[in-house]
Amino acid sequence: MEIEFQRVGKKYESGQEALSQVSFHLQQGEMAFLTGHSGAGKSTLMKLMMMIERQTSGQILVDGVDLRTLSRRAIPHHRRRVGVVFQNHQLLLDRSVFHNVALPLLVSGADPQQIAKRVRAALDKVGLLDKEKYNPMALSGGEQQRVGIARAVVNKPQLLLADEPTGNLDPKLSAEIMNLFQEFNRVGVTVLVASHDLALVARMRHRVLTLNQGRMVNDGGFG
Amino acid sequence: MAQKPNQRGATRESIKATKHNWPTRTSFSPSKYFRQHQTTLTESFMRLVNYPLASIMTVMVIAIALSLPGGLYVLLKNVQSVTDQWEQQSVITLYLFPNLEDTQALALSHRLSAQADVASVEYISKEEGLRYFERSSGYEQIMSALPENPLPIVLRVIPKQAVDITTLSSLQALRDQLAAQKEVDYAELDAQWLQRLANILSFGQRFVYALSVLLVVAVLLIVGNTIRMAVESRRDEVLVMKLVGATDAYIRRPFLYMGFWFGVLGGFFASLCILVLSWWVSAPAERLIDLYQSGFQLQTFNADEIVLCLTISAFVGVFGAWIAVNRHITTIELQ
Repeated sequence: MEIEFQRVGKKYESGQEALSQVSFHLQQGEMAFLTGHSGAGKSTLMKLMMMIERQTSGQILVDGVDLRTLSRRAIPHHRRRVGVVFQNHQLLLDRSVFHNVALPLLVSGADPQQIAKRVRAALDKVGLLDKEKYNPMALSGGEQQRVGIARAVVNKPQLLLADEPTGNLDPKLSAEIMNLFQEFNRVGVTVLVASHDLALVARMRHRVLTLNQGRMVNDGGFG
Repeated sequence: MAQKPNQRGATRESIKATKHNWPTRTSFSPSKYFRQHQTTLTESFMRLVNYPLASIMTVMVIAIALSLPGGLYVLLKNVQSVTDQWEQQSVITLYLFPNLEDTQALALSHRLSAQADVASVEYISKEEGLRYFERSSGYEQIMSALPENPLPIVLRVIPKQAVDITTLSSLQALRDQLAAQKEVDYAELDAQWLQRLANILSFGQRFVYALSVLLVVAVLLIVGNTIRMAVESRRDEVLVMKLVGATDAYIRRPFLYMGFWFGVLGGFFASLCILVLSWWVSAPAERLIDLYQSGFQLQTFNADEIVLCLTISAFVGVFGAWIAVNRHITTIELQ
């Protein structure tokens, strides 16, 4: 999936300006990091891509289509093409790991055999195949995060967004998670990871976008 | 996507091309649709089973709310069936003007008995009337003290139709026609009690209808409130669903089915209540009615009425859920 931001701004009703004049272009199959202090606008940028929020100025083109032209009804279909991983992994604690990962497939109405196959493939990729019957509560923080990643990729999305995916994990686990993202990128998925862990980002040697108070201050480099 | 990774920027052509590929709706497949609905139907039922106490309480409140108008309806149905069969020979009593000659009265009597809707006419002369009056009232001395017989000639007209609720209006028309005869002072149809009963019944009917509407609205509110709480308690789930691309219809569906189950189960227990209740009162009721009329059998909810009750309650359940979910689901937005 190809993403293009053209002078995008987001101003909240309170008057707070979360993003202003943000422009960048993410190629199909590219992997990039998004860094900046907390409150710099990283999450807002991700929400705009997910259509959780709408920009107040500028254009966002996804595969050449202006997101503003999409109706409310089209939003779910857009989200099915995007996988997201959040810091608070947003797993449902009243059902098993399997069911959590299967959610995007259930929602899009895949048939049950397909669901089982793809859920196990996704769990296998994140190394949790033996935990499919567990409740997410019974898993460690790193494992929970990996369940979240499995859920994000089970639908074979064209874009993977991760908002502080290593937020409260130790360095070794963080590196493992980042390697996972890299693997997905290698098979053609466009990946954008928001992180304030500059050391880790620098080690990954990918394009780095830096936000500061809602403005893009650095695009390129290795952090 | 068909685009190559090294292609830079979106050309006019690529925008055109991708715009048509944009999947704003997934293709419709009946089997997929049916499967999703079937799954949701069973899942929403299992959810009720998983919270037995809360579910039973809601279902019972609905059942009680529905069994009240249902029970009154059955009562009304029985009263109607009793009164429908309650035939009585009808009599229209004609009091003729006191100054009328016997011959004129007899002529009228013959004329009337020739009428098609009249079975017979009984002629009661002034003297017969007096004797009858003395016998039945016990005022012999007073009557004999009067200088002359004050009673008019009376014709007892027996119409062909027996009087019951269905024939009442045509008999009333006949009475009016007889009253209009120039010899007739006053005509009386002996069916006032029936008229009153008909009034009471139509009052009862309206009462039951009004009560039914009120209680159906109550069921709507009960289901609505229960579903609202269910949506609220599953807020996280709704959020995650929205995040992974669930449509509003998909999120709404389990709650609608929940409302459906509440309705169907409520209607089922309401029907059961009515059946048990009518069985319980049937023996004394039948003994009571037997005193007046033989062969009475208490009517209860029949199969058609049970189906109707279930249909209405299921519909009300889904509708109540629909209102609650629609109001609520749009307020739960990803932050």
